[in-house]
Amino acid sequence: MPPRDTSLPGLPPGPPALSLTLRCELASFEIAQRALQGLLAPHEPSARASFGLDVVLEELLMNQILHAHPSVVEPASVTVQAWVAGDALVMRLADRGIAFDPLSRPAPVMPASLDEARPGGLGIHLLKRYARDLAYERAGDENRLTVTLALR
Amino acid sequence: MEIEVTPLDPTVNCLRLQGRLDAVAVDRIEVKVNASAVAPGHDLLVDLSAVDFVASLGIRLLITAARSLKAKGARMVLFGAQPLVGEVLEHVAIDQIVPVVADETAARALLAAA
Repeated sequence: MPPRDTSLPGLPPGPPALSLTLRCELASFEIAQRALQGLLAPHEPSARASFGLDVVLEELLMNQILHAHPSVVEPASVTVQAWVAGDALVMRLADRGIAFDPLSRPAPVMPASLDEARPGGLGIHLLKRYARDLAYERAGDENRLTVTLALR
Repeated sequence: MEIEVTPLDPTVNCLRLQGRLDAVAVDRIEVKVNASAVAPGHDLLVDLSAVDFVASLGIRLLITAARSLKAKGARMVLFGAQPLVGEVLEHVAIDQIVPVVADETAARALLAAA
């Protein structure tokens, strides 16, 4: 079942284990992936968890690149904080793009034929499939999305 | 991501992909895939056995190529997906619009039978 969680998990007691400010561009994928997989590695995530992190990361960053900042000419930025809590990785993304709650998007209708298929629209669907929990809030002019991923 | 297109017979090409089919790779190979793999009258088998990652942009590339092939009177069959890649294919139900089979033998048999 797609994750549903309306409350934001609390921040860790200390500073987050990882804090990145990324430009919304393709080159940020490798930076984010290395940093987050590096954070995860000592916790020995399953192959599926590691794969799922990359899926979630790609969908979140592509949303930033393609949709979040339509009126900004220079690449905007997104802040990523991450930490491990028990058997899960928690990622909190914050950006000043247009208000966008991925939880509000309906599940896509899967096409019955190639003629009906339209490229796109699958990113949020995959995000929901691979995240254990998702929570969103709009605070002032900031989107805050918290994604929890199981480590195993 | 490495890509290679090889003719299997006069009417069937095989696109072999190797590496991560992620957003960065799609940005780099999309034009090449459409230019070299989408040929009129040539069905296309896509070998996913060496692909170790795919997400929505990679799926979009495959669907776009399948639509282009159909418009040119040709078909696409995907085969050989590793388990985690196969899981993504299942999540997006791509098998409802593009055949997905286990290996090249099954892919060629499917084309021959149709």
